[in-house]
Amino acid sequence: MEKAFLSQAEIDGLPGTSNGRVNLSEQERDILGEIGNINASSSSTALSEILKQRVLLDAPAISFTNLNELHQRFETPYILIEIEYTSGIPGKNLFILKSEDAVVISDIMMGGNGQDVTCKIDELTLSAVSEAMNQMIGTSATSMSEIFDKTISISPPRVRLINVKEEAAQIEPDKKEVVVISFKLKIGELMENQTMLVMNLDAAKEYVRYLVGGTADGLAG
Amino acid sequence: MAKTIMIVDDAAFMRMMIKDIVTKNGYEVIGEAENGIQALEVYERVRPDLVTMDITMPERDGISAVKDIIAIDPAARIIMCSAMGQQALVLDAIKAGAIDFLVKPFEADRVLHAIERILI
Repeated sequence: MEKAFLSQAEIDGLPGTSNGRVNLSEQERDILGEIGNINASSSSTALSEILKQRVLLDAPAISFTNLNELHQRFETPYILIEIEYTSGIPGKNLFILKSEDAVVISDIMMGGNGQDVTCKIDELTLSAVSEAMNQMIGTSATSMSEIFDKTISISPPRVRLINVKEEAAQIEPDKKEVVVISFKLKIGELMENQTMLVMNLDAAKEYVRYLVGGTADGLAG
Repeated sequence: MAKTIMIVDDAAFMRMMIKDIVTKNGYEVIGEAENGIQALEVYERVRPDLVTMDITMPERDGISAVKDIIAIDPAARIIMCSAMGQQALVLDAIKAGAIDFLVKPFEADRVLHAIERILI
């Protein structure tokens, strides 16, 4: 099966994971992993309700890279859905899907069984998978807001179909270092996808400081 | 005569799903909008019996749109339909004038039940 996500080995091979360039303490990693866990578990619960399928999660993989490099690792073509946090927590969520999986998800959301679907991506398919992501992240924002006692707002989803590597290279010219907390989602027997929480490294460190009792600038809301 | 409903959601898919649920159960959808600004414009024009309103939308969010609509029609009946079920947001929406709050993902029955309770 062709894969549109990174294996742990590939994630480990990303720049910054092993060369000591990134300075993140064990505690900071733990806290970020836990934020990722809460985020991914409640989003996967929402997805499971939407699709009426069991959704399984792997343990989080934390890696350091930049968005430009991250995107070039995914096998094209793929669908990228992004939702940014607009207040309460820094960063954004990425959902990486293969085109054929998006068609299956949208078919199930419209009452089908996801079988024998023709692999045609249209506006409605993209709108359906964006709405799935919106409900996933909305649900996880609710859980996190309860745990951290803070209102968390999100942007509307932005969806893009990335056809070729060159496009992937252009999506995010930014070479700023980010921390990526990623999870593999196994949806029933249907598919495996990848969901990621991405934060600028500085913002992530500041957020961890805030959570452990300090203060953080720039965390509006 | 069928009761009329207006659907506000930035996702075309969600508008289609809600429209399908309500029309199958005898309601008429007389307006749709995909952001908070459009919501006010369409509301003024069609004056529906009930509005379903998303929160996270581009241009203007759903809670602001509820305030705008209530300002021109204090009797407007609005149900929030959002994935953002945070207590603070639910309270904001109710304070703004929404009557009920449905958290996505939801089942068709839940939507119908909420609408019936208000319109009957």
